Amino acid sequence: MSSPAAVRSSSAPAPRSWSKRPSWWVVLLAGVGLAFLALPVLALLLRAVESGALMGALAGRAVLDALVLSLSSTAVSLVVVVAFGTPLAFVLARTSFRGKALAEALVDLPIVLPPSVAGLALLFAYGRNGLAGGTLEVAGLTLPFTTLAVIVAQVFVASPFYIRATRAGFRAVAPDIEEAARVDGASENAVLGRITLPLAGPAIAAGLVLAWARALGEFGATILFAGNIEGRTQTLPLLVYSEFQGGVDAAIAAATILVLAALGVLIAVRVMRWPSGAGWFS
Amino acid sequence: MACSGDDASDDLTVFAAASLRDVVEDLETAWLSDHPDLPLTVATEASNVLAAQIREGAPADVLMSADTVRPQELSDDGLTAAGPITFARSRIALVAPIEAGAVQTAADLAVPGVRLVGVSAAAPIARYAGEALEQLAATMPWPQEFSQAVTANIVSREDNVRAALAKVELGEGDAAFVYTTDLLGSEDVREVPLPAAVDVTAEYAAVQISEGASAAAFVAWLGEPRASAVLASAGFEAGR
Repeated sequence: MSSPAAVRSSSAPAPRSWSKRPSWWVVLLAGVGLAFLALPVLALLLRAVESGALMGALAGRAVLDALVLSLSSTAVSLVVVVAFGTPLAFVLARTSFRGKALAEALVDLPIVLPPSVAGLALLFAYGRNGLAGGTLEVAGLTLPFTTLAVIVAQVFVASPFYIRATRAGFRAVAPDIEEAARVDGASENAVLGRITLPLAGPAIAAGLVLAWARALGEFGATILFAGNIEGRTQTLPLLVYSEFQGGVDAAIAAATILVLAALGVLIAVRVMRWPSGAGWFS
Repeated sequence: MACSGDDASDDLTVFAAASLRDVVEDLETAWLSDHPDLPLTVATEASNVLAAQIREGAPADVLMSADTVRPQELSDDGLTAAGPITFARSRIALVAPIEAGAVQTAADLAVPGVRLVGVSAAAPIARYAGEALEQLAATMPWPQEFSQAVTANIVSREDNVRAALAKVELGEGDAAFVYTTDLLGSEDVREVPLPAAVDVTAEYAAVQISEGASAAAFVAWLGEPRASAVLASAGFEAGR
């Protein structure tokens, strides 16, 4: 995933260049693969332009409500992911303990789980009759069918992406740099704040972007755990699904917004060029 | 995944309303004993979703809808091989979790904070529920306020009636409008009595989508005594 020798520095090893061009059939297959991936996106954008659905639906309340809900819920989700994911990534990167393999598997699990399974599991855990439901109810919280449930679903499915990237970032910081700071009298907190976090910064940022993209696209866990109602739990992906059953215009508009947002983020990430060790993009 | 048209295989693809999910298995068994050479492939979803899929070219041979509206629309648009035929009826019921919950009487639906689980406005049950609610409101001292309060209590619009039922079975929702026939198959919900003035009945219509004798035979068979008996044992009122 990440290059193990990645001490963060500007002098990354210069990429060797390959002089020989790939064979024609390699290029052909690569082209077919790329076209296969590009065509659905292209078709969606064409349809959006052609129908003029984008402007019309943007004026409608459903799309705007869903857009606002998507942006605000993913923002809150990211804060939660960072608050708990960063310490977890640090512990996983820097310590060894009994059951660490299990902990790492648990962190990765939501990536592999079908979102519908995640939604069901969330209901059984944090639903009104769930394992933690009684405790939450005492605290005055009933999650299902609330915006809070949308955030819980997003945090569940998105945090693995952040934790994985951040863990790789923490691992890639050379121990001797931190040691040098300690020798110079820096406290542990200062080492963390002045050395470790900044050096792991690009990896953390990459993790943030991925986690945000995953949270923005979250569908299955949300519709099962949070339900689907305009303005409260209907995010853009849920709107796409709901609208598809009625008029297609709003579905196209919401889908286009999602595609453009995702594409924009990925291109921005490319342009920013994370130093090696960011893991997912390099 | 079968392709329509060229597919020469002799099985029938039946798209059935979500509320038919259980009975359609028994129908299949009965059908197979009459027609062992014509196995069914059944897909269940909200009728509006199924109709939309048929419009997009899904390879259905027959649609069994929880209303007469969608089949008629498909027929009007020339997408069917024959006109729709009503084959069953089911009344609309209000359900709540089996363990004492927030909704004991129909009037409780308007209590602030009650979680009424709705279904996507395009699904047949949403229209029936709307009618039931209207009739229910008319029995209340302040019909309009009652309607508004109940509407404000809708916490979700699920995909189909079975998804709404599941949320009530799990105890996450306090109540939902379903078909009485949904109620029979569930041990986790109880029926909340509705005033006698509330009486909404869903009409199930089947329509032949693809040309071909076997699809026509299946639609006709739905009106025969054998199918009627299966439907009746599942709580449906069979016949036209």
